[in-house]
Amino acid sequence: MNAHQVLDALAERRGEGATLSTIAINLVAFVEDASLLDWIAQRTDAIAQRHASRSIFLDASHGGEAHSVDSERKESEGTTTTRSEQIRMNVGDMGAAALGSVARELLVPNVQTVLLWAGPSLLDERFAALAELCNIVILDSSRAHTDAECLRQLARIADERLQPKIRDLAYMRLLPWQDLVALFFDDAKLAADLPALRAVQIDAGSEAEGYYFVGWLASRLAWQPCGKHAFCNAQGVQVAVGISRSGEPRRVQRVELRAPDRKFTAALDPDSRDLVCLTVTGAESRPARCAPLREVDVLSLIQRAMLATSSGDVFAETLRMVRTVLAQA
Amino acid sequence: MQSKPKQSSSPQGNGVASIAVNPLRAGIESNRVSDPCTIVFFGASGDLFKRMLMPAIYDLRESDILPADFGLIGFARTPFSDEQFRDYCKQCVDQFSGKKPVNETLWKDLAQRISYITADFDDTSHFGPLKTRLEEYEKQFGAGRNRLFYLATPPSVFPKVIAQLGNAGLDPAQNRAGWTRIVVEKPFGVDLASARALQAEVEKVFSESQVYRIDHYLGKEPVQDIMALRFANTIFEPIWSRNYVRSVQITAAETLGVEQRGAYYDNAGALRDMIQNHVLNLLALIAMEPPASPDADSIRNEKYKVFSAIDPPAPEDVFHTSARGQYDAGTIAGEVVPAYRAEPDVRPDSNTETYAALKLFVNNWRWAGVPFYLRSGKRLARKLSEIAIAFDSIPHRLFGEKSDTIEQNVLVIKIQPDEGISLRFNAKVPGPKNHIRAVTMDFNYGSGFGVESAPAYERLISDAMRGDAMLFTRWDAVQRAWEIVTPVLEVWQSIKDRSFPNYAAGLDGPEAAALLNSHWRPL
Repeated sequence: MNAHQVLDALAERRGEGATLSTIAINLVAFVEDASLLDWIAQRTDAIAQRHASRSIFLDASHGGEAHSVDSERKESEGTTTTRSEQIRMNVGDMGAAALGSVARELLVPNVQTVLLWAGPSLLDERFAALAELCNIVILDSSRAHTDAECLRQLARIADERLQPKIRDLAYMRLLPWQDLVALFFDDAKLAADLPALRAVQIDAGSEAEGYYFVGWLASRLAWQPCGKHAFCNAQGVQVAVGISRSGEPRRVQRVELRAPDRKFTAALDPDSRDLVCLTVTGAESRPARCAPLREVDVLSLIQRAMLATSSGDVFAETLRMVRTVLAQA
Repeated sequence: MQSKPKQSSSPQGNGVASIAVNPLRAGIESNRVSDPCTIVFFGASGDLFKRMLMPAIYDLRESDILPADFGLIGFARTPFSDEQFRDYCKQCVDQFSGKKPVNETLWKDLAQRISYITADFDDTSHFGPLKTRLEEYEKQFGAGRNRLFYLATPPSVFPKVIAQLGNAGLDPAQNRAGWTRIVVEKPFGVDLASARALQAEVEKVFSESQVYRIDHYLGKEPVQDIMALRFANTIFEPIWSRNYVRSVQITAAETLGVEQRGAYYDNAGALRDMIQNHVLNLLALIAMEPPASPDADSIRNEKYKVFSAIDPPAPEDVFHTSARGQYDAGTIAGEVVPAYRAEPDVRPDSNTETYAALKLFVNNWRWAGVPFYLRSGKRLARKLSEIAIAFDSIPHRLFGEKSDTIEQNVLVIKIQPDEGISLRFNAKVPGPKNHIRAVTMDFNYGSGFGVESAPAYERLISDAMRGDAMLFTRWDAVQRAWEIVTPVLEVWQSIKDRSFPNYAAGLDGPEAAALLNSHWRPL
């Protein structure tokens, strides 16, 4: 495959005359599972609609030379502006080196480049070749059957260079849950329960969210693993941890924290999957309060991942803790 | 530029200290307002509350920006029970919220925190129940003793409400356990004297740091981006001066007429309604020096300095430095629309201007000699708000065929309906000849970031709850803005314009504007 053929086809689409480009993002999507092709394509198309972007859809489920290009242009005050461009090509026959070099040729230079990885393994050399080209790497370690494996791979490869680029949708899905659970303890009277927590239970449709949530709590509260299903807090007191699969994949259902005198529960509202209701039972119980669970659909998460300026120290610390937990599991 | 929860050490910041010791908060970005509070809307049965404020409150709830502990009290003349008022609020949200469909669970949660007091603003005894209700809310909903009073009444009522708050013991001095703030809608006075009189009433009850004078234009995302464009880039600031800028045009054009606001507008006019506040604020953001820090007072200091450097026109110069117009009947978007004087509640011989244009100079080291052209009008050809910065022509022509026009570079900050930035520059037309043509490079917020801007009122209400006054106007700037426009107002009031109506609805404005500036950008 010659990348210049694709670029020539794009130039042809632009046509004659003075043309400007407002493209601000390269979005590289890599898919190998044929069953995911349409699903990923719909999302990259939706992003192309919203962002001034060049999307490069790399279909590794098919080999051969096939490719297609499209673009969206706008006429204004006598100037034709290219707002977005879409490239789709088969890369099933390509090894990592060839794939990296073709992708590099196709990128708009000097703009932010985002990789949306839907390949089989993070240990795949093609992942490394594409990640090297990108400022942001979006992946989803939350998978129906291989959660722990994907997280293990991520924990293994996320070195100092790669980790800041990583935006794991499984972790990003938790951000509103983190905020809502923190909300319990903004109340100074209840904050005193944090060092006294004795048990944590997370129910989620996939394991990755559970590991991330526990990793986050442990990293914030200075807990250390001290057993297969337990942490010890700074005073050496054990905190039992349970992660159960329940409900839809990739969705947290419920988080429960137990202190000696109180139970804190954040749970999806049974009538509305976009609401989380917070309850405190036991001593000094509080009335239930519901809050919207915002932007946890995949498209919104990808958008947020693209705009986030860094993955953040909290993610790095959480991932380190997850690595420790998985090593003991 | 959505701010993080404020980690104030102020003794008035109830509930904030607890957040500082919550280890789960570290590193979590949340847009939620941290201080619990109760907001009281005076004029809650009016049009502003219906169309803008109540929908903004629901949208803030839906975006989880409202504080966890929150209450809302409506206070107005129209008789409503609590239940009727909640139903009315729901109608407002159903009709005007940007977040549809309305989530019923969230609405129920919000509705239980809403109540109403039917009241006469003149009657001191009606403010006692407000105090009682606030105290009940603060117990029931844990809303601290943080109180935000929002004046959404007609401006004539502002002084009464402020005085009554003081009389009822609802002034900040009586509330040391929390904060008390007041949001004052525009217009802040109808002229310099009335603005000063209103300020005198405000000062009896509130200190300046507790007053949030709202100008909803400042809540628009592109307006906020002006400072980012100027001070987060290195390429613009070196040329942002008289050395390279030939002129600045600020336009706020509407296709709408006066709609249901004829009675108000006929006593206001375009100069008061738009130029004195919105448009002058835009000028200040363009012309100000870099602030020492991004805090509200540093920015407002710089804005005030800009206004201080603008000399109000002398009465004898008013006709050389301004233009006014009033729309006649015409056609907009294929629809025939009536003349201003035929609008409901407008005097048939009205001398009120529906179009105003000014030419001002900022007399300082950076801007001396650069004209700032401001214009605003109703029933114009297109709805358009923008700031166009035109740069000098090239000093010497090297390229282009004789027939080619080498246009000035123009940087346009687009505020509405498009939101973004465009830059016009010259480029060679491909081919053997040396033809030069102007091209435009566009950045749009929608496509650039793929996210919609939050409506201005959402941003401004949440900022007032956070205590962030950056997007609100300080009294010194309001006063100076009135001083700048007062000579024009006085001359226009004393000398009727016998050419009125002098532009047909649907056109770019009156011919008089072309005498002020022959290079207005077409609408």
